[in-house]
Amino acid sequence: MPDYLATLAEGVRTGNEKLVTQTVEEALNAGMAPGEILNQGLVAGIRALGQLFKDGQAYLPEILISVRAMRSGMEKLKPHLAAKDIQKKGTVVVGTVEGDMHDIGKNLVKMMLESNGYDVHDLGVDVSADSFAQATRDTNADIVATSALLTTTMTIIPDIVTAVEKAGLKKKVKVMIGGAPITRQFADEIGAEGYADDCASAVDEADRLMKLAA
Amino acid sequence: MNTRERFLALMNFQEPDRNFVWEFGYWAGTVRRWYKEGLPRIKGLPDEIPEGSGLFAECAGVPLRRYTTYDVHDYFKMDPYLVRIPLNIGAYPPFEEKIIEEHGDWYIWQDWDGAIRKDIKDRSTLPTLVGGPVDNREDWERYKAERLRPSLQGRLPSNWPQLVAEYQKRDYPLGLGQMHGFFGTPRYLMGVENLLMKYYDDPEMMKDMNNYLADFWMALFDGVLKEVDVDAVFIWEDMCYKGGPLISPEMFREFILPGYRKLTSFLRDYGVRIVLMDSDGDVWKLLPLWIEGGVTVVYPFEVAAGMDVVEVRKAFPKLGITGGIDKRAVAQGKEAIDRELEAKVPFMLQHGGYIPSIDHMVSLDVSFENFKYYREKLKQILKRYSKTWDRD
Repeated sequence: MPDYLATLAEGVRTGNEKLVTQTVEEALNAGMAPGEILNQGLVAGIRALGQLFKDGQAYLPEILISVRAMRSGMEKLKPHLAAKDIQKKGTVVVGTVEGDMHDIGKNLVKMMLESNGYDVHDLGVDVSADSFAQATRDTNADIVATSALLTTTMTIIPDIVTAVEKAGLKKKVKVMIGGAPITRQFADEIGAEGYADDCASAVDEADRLMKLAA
Repeated sequence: MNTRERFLALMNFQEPDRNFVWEFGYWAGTVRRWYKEGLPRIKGLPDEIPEGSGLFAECAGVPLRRYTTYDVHDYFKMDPYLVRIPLNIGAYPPFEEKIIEEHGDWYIWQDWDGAIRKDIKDRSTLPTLVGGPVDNREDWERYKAERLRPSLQGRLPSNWPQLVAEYQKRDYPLGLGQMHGFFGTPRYLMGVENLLMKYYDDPEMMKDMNNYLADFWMALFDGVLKEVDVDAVFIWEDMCYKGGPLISPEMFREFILPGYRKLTSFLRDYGVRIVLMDSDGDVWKLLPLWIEGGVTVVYPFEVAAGMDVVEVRKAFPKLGITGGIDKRAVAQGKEAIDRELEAKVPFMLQHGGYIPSIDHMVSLDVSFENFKYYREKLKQILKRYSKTWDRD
């Protein structure tokens, strides 16, 4: 049997959409378990790329085409997946803070979290603190992830931490932040448990926060 | 020395009489805050300028359809501006500026280059690019034919002959170029995410775009340079963020560097040797490639993105540098300002090729009092390292 899993991982890592969809089909036809295709093929590929990104060996275009390939593979695979095959790591609510329209980083974080097994609810841009709290409650989220590009809009982030607290969710829910002016020190100062420099680190940080919550 | 002589001396690593009293720029909201805190409102800012608009100051030059603030310029007795020739090097005829979609307190609109932007309705923050008029080869061919014709027709103001006469007897530095570049302009055409994927999806179109833009700008500049002796050319890319470049150095080399080589070689033939690169973010990995492509000056070196002009100077002894003073330190107050200036400015002045300014537009959290203190402190340092000083 060809090494479908290695081909899939390599296809996702290199963003080869056609190879990924074709290999998913071949692997399914060969009787391979859908859960195995997902976790040891597609997810393994995106993880490999995430590591390359963190090591400075891959950049944003590579992330974008890799996620696109993974999504296409998932589309093919989805009808065959049973609930037990999808190991959801947790639920994340994402959005940019009120007054900030810059969503490229947020979109990348969303893509990487989804590709790594998180259920992500995207609230979009210019999201008020109360909307974050409401969506967190509605989706029973584990993590609120938000970003700001500007020093002016980063000042809104503490309001989100406060809104989550006021909604009585702070014990269960962790807040993770990022964006151009944001630092780990700022996160510590405002009581946000998580901070990530980039979209690949955001996955590691979400994993860490989920362990904290466990 | 006059302003032009001083600029040429500084950017060519010769010894000037003194350094510049210049800044990069301010957000409009910052200047409105300063009016309330004591900045005399003489010329004011028109109400239609949104809070989130950048007001370009002396060392950045004022691009077409962008604004400046003469009240700050005059109050701090800044040196005359580095002037940009008002040549439109983007879409002509321009697109109609119009709202495409409205969503509560934000909306999506098309600007004059055809770029699709998402913006808050009160425009209190920066818009973000979400798309543009080009998605495929057919769009690109149409855009080229309709909007990027290599002709000066309609691209210069009607008083161009008078401007030429003025430029010929000027005592200030003069530059060509707007908010455009070999990465920056394709971003207007496609939006960021689409552009980043196009390098993989349609590499031939991206190479054609790079080559066409080089030829197009050379053709426009050629018409101007035949009439005016220009000191510098501006290139705008903003192609880095705090994690580094948006594309890999290898991708830059393959897709973008050829345009730089072509354009800067052409400029050198005209005697234009100063090429200024504007890019925010962590630019470390692209500096060697920009230099290889003929860039001679880079700004504004954002400290929050990890840039340190002292380290850049050590690594690139002959690269012109502007900026690099942490806006966050100026927001913090006197001690932070003292630390920031003393750690950087004396070293940079001693090594030459440096014009001090804050590392981007001065942000809304900088009080007028702090900014005054920063300018005064900077003036004292500049005085200390100048042969002469006439700016008290």
